[in-house]
Amino acid sequence: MLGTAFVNMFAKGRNTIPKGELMSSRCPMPMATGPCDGCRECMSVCPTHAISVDDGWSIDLGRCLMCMDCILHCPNGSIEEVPAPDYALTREELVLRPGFDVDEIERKVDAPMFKGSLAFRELDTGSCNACEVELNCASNQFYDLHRFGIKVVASPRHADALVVTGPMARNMRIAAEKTYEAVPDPRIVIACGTCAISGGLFVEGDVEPEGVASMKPSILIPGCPPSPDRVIRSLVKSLGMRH
Amino acid sequence: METIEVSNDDYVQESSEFRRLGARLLTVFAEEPRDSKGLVNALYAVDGEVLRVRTLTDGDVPSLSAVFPYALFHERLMSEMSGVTIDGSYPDPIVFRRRGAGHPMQKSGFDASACEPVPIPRNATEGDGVFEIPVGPVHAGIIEPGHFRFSVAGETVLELNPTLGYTHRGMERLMEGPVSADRSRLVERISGDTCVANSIAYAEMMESSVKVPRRAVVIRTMLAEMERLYNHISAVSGICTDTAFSVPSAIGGGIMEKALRMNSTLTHHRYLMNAVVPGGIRWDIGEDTLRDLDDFLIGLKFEVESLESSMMDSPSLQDRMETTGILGKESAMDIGATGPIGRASGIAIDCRREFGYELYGEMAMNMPVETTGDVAARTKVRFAEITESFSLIHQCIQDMQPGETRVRARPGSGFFCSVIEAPRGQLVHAMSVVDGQVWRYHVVDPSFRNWFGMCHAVPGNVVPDFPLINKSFGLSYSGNDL
Repeated sequence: MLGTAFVNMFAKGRNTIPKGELMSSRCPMPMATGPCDGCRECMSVCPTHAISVDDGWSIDLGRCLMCMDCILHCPNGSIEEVPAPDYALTREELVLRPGFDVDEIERKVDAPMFKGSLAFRELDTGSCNACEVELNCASNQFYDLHRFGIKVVASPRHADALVVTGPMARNMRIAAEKTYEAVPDPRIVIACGTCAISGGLFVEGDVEPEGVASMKPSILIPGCPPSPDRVIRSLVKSLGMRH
Repeated sequence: METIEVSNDDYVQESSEFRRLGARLLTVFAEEPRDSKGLVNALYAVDGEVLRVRTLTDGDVPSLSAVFPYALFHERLMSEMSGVTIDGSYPDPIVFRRRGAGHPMQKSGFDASACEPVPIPRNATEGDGVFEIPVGPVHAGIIEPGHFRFSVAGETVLELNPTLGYTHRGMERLMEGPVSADRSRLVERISGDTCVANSIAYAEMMESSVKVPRRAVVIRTMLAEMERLYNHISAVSGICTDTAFSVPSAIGGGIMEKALRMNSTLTHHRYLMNAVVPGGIRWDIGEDTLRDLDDFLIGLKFEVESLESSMMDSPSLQDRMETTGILGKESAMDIGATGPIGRASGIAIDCRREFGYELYGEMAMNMPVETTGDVAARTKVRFAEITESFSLIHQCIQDMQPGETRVRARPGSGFFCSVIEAPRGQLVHAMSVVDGQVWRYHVVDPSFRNWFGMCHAVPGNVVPDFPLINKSFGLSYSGNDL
């Protein structure tokens, strides 16, 4: 009976994804893998104008909603799902062309003090709440964010990092500035999700024109919303945490 | 949809007539016609039909709040969005909360960047030993922003006033433009965890002139129920989290994750985004996947039942839930509570039954109703609705016939409205199309009125019960703020 109790304690109902499996998986993104005749069909269906065919086919992962409409509409069937980089450090590196190198994009951020552990505070600046649900899911038994040494803290004063979601709605600007000021130095800002990186679908809306970029985020995690494993991989890889 | 044109004087009279007939008010909103100063639309639900009462206005409109008390919320929103005065004055702002350079829905003269925030007023409760606790907009958990002010005497809350609008992104304005442009991606992001309900509401209005293939209708209904399923599971496991009932909370999180993964198998998206489009659905779901879904749901049902019994059989959790955060039937009627919140307070309304949209008109379903209106009642309603969702999804899978999944939608001209039962309650979308342009788009999220239900439910409880009551309401901030 004691044996069963131990088995129950440590194994039963545990669905945790092994660290190795979580770290080696990748999220998909659309990319032109075949010939492009410049018909602009993909450009016209893209809801966030992420694709450009002038000067060669390129896609801005910071705007892409991963809706894959471009794949459905390409008359040549030239666009396919390919493994995407989990994050980038600069906005320019998120504009991807065929034949991009994932390892070149996923560089380490210059913040060696956080490689042992990271305490982050989430800041919603007007997201649709899908990013929040995903960040909550990162703590569930499948992903178990905490085993990597990453912790969600209740106050910005306890935080090393701000994970910012949403396009920076005008009504939220003052609160967001105050939250940023409350985080002690050294601190980093992480833009999580398409809205935070580029404004996404809301660039024309009642949002600050500069968006979250005014907070100078050092890690950009694309996705609408970024899945929990992608958030974990981005933090672990970019900060050089052990896994 | 029938439209009744009334004069300004008959506008309130007409409303009490409707109330006498047992109708309820869906929303009140203003639009700016091209030729005159203002047009106010009041939408009513009468016997499963939507009725539109419109009246021309020169900038002022009488209030319907004497007939339907909750009309005031819509009128406050209308006033700050469109610049219409109510009975001669501007009521308190509710969502936009900035003033100075026009109103967001005015066709000209609005400058969002020049508007200044309206200061948040103090609570009315005053006296010796009464303290005011301001909370937010940035909260301790991973949730959306909103500001709350509690007036407390000791531990007991005397008054609670929420200030929302922090996630206002100007959604209604973004929806305007050529009607031919597909805005289903945008509509889904009104509230990320209600994306299927929102996109169905949008799609139904765009499809008024075409017949959507049966297979698409069945799949959409199935997706809507999958959405309800994970939303309710998230809400009940949230109750465990907020009462520090750790093991069921972790189990609930696991069940939700499994449901999200199933969503991803069905539509390539964990929140079912990008699936529903005007005219049908984006991609078909294979027969193998449907069989897997049926098997998966049987397993999930057992897990939900075990979660339910661990919650409902726990005396300590019941002690926290029972008689906590009571929203009485009368208050619920006054604020126009919708969805599971209303049904937990004895309001037996379910838009799926009432309007029979998509496939709901021909499916067998129960409507769980509780009367106590406390946290326990809301939890019971949610568990009962999860069971209903299992049954509805199973009925959908049984009903699935091979066939087309998408036709070309040709949006017409005129006024459209759709009322959908989202996981959180009654969701209303209205759209008027003039010369191929979306002239006015109006959304009422179920959370919009239910937030006021929370203001009624919290006073009389202790401060530590606020998170629990908040979670039992499970409201959306982004849907409310648009």
